[in-house]
Amino acid sequence: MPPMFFGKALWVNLSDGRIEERDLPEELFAERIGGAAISSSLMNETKEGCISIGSGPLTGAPCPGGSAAIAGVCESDGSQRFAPILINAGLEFKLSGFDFVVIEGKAESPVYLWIRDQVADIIKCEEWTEEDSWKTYSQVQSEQGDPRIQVLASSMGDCASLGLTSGWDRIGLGTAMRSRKLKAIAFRGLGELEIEKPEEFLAKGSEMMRAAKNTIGNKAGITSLLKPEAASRIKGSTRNRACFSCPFPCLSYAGTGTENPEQILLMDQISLKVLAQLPGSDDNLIKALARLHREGKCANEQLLKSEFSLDEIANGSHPVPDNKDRPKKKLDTITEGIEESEEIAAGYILGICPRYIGIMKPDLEQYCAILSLGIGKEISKENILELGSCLLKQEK
Amino acid sequence: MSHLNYYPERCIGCSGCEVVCSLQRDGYISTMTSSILFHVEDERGYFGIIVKREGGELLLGKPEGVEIKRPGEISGGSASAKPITMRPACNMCGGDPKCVRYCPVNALEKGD
Repeated sequence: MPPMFFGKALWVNLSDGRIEERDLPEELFAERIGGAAISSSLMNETKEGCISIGSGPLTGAPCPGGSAAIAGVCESDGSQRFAPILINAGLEFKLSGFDFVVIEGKAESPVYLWIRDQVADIIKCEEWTEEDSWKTYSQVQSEQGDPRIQVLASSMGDCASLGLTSGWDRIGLGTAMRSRKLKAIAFRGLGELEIEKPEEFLAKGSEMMRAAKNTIGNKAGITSLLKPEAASRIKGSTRNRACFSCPFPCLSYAGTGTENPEQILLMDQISLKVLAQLPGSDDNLIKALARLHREGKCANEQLLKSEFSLDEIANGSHPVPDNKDRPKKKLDTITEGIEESEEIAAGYILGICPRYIGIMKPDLEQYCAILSLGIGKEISKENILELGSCLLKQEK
Repeated sequence: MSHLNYYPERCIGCSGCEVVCSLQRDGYISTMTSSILFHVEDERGYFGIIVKREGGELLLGKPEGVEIKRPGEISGGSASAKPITMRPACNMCGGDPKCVRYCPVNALEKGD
């Protein structure tokens, strides 16, 4: 078993219900390190497109920004796109017993995939007819009875949700799930993962975390990623929060104006920026965002051309445009102003949040140093950037 | 004897302390053996921690403040996770708590 991994992949065929566990060769980890680089290899083995989830070696590890599991969509033409699964989901997936999951085929009727403790089940849920990703999330949690279960849910739109949070999927994962009648992918991490040099790893992680906090200063909250005129329209923001092991609390809770949920966690900077340009009451901005997210949608500039007000979007009186036919990035950076780059791609391989890399611009040498302590083998920055470059170009 | 203090108004909910605790004690990444349990309810905008202290006391770090309770006085928590009462108590890492060192916002501090 390679250090910091279980060495296992799960292959799921929704068409015939087959679930297969595969041991991955150590050479694969030695050559491609992990995350999107290995997901890409595994997805290349499929013929008619697939969905993947993968972890990097630093996903779920105590180092700054080590929060990202990686969702992948591979189309039938072989083109691939990746998005980060953040908050606490990276950690939970990392400890689920599988490093990678590849999902092929199409179910006959709606199902969800439930992964935990090196076990996976395809569970029928044909009675879940509502196209509401929040409802699906709550149904899975209620059925499995554990509040720490992480749920990626599809709805009527192009974007999947993670719990009550959206804005991390602009690669069409929602559409890819729905087209396979896959309502949700749920996972929970109950496992244990060995680290080659735990004491040194922890000391290095603490040093990096403290240094990062000095760089961040008092920057906090989703409004810190918006221009003042947009930020001033967000009402009812209560408390800021960070994803797992991140010193930058770029997320903010905000009241929805409803009893359930009372609050949602705001991550979707791009949608907020668009919505803040629409006419209407500021009080309806979060309600409008909530409606989009329940429908599996994120706002884009098409919404600006639609002449809807925030009030009309919030009350659901008009259908709003989807992202489905929008051009998509290969690597979702979840943040306007952060472009795809070899450094972002390196984060996708290691399991580091692209927003963290794009905004904080951390020294990749530090991540190579801590990774070397984790796996007991020297990894160079050049090595990771080269893999990142191949990932961007989708070279094998 | 020293113990952990928690300052909820500083905490950013990264939950790194939970994993750091297991890694320090057992040498592996896990959330199941930690003396610190991270608790979150996104629907209410609520997060905090529970720490099992030596002697069986539980520190409940809630957004509204900190409470100290005996194990029998607490209910709730993660249904399928190993309950906090079944976990090892915080031994302050022998006097140099690693979660305190790791926390980027000083939400955890060593107290007397």
